[in-house]
Amino acid sequence: MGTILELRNISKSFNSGSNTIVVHDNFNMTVDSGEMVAIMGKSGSGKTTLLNIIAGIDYPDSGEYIFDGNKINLKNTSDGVKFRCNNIGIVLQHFALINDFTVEENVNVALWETKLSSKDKKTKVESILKKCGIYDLRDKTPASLSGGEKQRVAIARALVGEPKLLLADEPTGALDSETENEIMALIKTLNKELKTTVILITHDKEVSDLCDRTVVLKKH
Amino acid sequence: MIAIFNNIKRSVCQHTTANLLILINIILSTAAIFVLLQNYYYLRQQYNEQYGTTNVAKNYYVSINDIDQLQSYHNDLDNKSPMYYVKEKIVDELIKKYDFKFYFYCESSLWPEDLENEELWTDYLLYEEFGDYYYIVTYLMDKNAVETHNFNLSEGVLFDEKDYTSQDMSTPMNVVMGSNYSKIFNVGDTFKCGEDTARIIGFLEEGSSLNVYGYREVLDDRMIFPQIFPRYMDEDSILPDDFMYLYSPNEDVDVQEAINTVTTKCGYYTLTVSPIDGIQLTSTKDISEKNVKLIGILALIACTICALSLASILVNRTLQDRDVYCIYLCCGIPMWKINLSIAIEMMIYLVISIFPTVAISIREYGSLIVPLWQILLFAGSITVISLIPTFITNRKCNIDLMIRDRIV
Repeated sequence: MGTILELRNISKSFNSGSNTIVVHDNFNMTVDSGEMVAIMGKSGSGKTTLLNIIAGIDYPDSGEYIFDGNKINLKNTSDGVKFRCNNIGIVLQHFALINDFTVEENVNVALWETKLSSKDKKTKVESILKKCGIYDLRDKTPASLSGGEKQRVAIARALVGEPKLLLADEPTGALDSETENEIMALIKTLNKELKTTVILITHDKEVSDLCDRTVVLKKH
Repeated sequence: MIAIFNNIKRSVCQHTTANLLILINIILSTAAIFVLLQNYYYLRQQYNEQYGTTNVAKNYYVSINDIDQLQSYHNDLDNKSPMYYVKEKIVDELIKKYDFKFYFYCESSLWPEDLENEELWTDYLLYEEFGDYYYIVTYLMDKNAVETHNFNLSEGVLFDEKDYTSQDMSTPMNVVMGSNYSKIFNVGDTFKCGEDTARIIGFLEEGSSLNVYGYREVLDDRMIFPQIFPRYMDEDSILPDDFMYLYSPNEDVDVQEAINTVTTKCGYYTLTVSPIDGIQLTSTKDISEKNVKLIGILALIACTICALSLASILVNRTLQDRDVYCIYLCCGIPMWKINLSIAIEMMIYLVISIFPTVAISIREYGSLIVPLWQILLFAGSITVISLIPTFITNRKCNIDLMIRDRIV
C-alpha cells in the first residue's frame, strides 16, 4: 500500500486584527492509499483548515503537500477546482444537495465535467446508487428524503467520479446515532470495496473508532 | 457544455418569478431604449434638416415691418435727426462686431432704345404684351452685393470702385450682361436705356445666378448695373429706403439675436431678418440641441435604472443559488462555466425580450425604425452591466464558504 497523501512541515496562520493565530505549525501527516483516517480535535484546533488544505481550497503558508507522489502547488482557485475534480470527493455534514434535482441528478452533477458518454454516466450513477443503497430513491428529490438518505446521496455523489480520496467533514454530525452507524458502515464498506482513501473529521469517538487510525489535533 | 446547459435548465425552472421579472425588465428596457433611440434619431434628423450648419443661411433680407416705424425711419433719414446717427452707430457696430456685410440689390426693368440689331436683341428680351414693348430685367447692385455674389465672367471685367461713385450723367453707365447677350454684343458696345447710355464691360458666365428669396434666379438674359449715388440713392444712406440685404460670414452667429442685441441697446427700430439661402440660425437651435442632449441623457438614465433594477434581481437570484454554485465547485465545475451559463441565460432572455418591440414597431411603422443592432447593443450593454454585480458575488462562492457557513 503506497502513500496517497503526505503533508510535510505544513504551517498555516490567520491574521485576526493585530493578532496572528497560528493554526498549524510544522504539521506532518502521512496517509496511505486505501486507509481510513479520522481527524479529531477541539474547536479551533485546525481540523477544517487542514481539510481545506488537503482539498486544495486553502493553501499552506509553508511546507509541502504531496498527493499521489506529486507535489501540489495550487496557485489559484481554478487549479484547486481541477485538482479536486480529478482526485477528491467531498462529503459535508449538512449534505449539500441541490433541492431541485432528483437523487440521480444530484449524483450525476459530479460527472458533468467528465468526458464520459451519457450512457456510461448513467451506468456509473446507477452503480454507485446501488452500492449506497439508494437506487430505489433515484427519482425522488432531497426534500422527501431522511437525513441518512440525504447523506448517502452526498456520499454517492462524492464517490461516483471514483476519486482517490474522500474527504468527509463530520459526515454523521447531523444524524441520529442509528443513522450514524449506517452511514459509517457504508463509508467503511465503500472504503474497502472501492479502495478509496477516506479522511474524515469528527468529534465522535465512536466514529473515530471505526477508522484505521485517528489523528488528534491540538490547539496552539 | 453539459454543465452550462444543465445549469441554465435548472435556473430557468427554479426561479420562475425572478426570471419573469428579468424578462419584463428587459422587455421594458428594450422598449424604452427603442422609444428613446427613435426620438433621438427623429430629433437629430429634424435638427440636421433645420439647423444643420450646411443649411444655415448666410444671406438675409432685412426689413422694418411696422408701417409707423418705417415712416419714422424715412423721416429720420430725410431730416438726419439724432436717430439717423444712432442708426449709423448701430450699423457700424454690427459690421465691426459681427463682420456683417450690408448690401443692396433690386430688380427693375429697362426698355432698350435705338437698337441696331433689334431683331436679334428681341430674341432675348421679354415682351410686355399689353404695353407692346420689349424690356430687359435688370438688377441694380451695390458694391457689396456684387462682391457677395462673387460672379464669374466669361468675358470682360466687373465694376470697379469708380463705377459705384461716378456722378457724371454724361458718361455711359457701365453694365454687365448675362451670357445670352454675348452672342449679339461685344465688350465695349453701348446702347441707350432711357436717359442713360449703357456700356457693356463684361458678360457673366452661363448659369450665373442670384438667390432671390430662396429661389435661384438665372441671370443669362438679365443685366446688372451698379448702384450709383446719387443717381438712384441717397449717398449717405447706408440702409437704403426700406429694405436691404445682409451677409453673415459666420454661420454660428444668430443674426436676428445680434441685431436685437445692438438695436435694443440703442433703443432703435425693430429690424427683422428673413433668411434667403438657407435656414435662419435662431435661439431655437439651442433648444433643439438641448432636446437632443436631453433625450441622450434620458436614455442614459433609463439605461442606468434598468441596469440597476436588473442587477438587483440577478444578485438576489444568485444569492439564492450560492449553495448550488458551491456544490458545483465541489464537484469540479469551474466558476467561469457557472458565470457563462448565467450570461448565456441572460442573452436568451434578451433575444426573447426584443420580439415585442420588433413586433410593435413593424405593426406600427411597417419596419424597424431603429436598427436592430443598436437596440441589441444598448439592451445588451444593460444586460452585461447588470451581470457585473452577480459575477462579483459569485467570486465569493467557494467550498470553504459552504463548509464554514454551513450552507444546507
